[in-house]
Amino acid sequence: MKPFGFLLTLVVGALVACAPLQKGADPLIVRAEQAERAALSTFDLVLNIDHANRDFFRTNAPAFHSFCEWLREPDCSDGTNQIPRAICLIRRIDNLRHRYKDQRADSNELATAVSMLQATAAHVSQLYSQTAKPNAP
Amino acid sequence: MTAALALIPQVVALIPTVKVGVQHLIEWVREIRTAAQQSGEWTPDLEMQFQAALTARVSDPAYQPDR
Repeated sequence: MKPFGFLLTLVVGALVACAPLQKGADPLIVRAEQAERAALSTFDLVLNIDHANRDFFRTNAPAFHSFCEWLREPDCSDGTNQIPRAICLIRRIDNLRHRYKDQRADSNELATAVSMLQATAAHVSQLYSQTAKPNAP
Repeated sequence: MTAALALIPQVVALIPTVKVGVQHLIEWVREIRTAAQQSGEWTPDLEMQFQAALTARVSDPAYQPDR
């Protein structure tokens, strides 16, 4: 575990050094894109871990499993398929970001939506981190 | 982004305690790192890749509710 831990320390250390914005880049758009990417990877993390042993989490971590199920519930449609809420949440930010770029949405609307997406991703991560114990699968 | 960054130490601390999903934890750290280092708006290629990733999740078994 020691070399692995060292590698992770390096990775986490690199995270602190966030890159400065390129000239001309809109900070709100970059923040929205970062939030979308971070939310997708967070949803991937928790939903895959819950999916690997749904029975265990349903019994031993009902709050975590219920929140994962809430993220999985169909919440929008592309006309053919029902789309899980986790993806709908990200797509809403995506649409707002495009509308903001086209000057059809204001910055407050986008900033609020980004904050809500970040809060959702943080909440599910917190539930997971409270859930994982040495006897967890 | 700040919320995700704040969670990294907690999530990294979990790695020795979980028996499955370590690859997902590592992938998560890698993705958050990439997002944190983003310095400009997405290119059309990156935008298309992200849209494709979202579309792929619609049929991903991990994203399907309990039966």
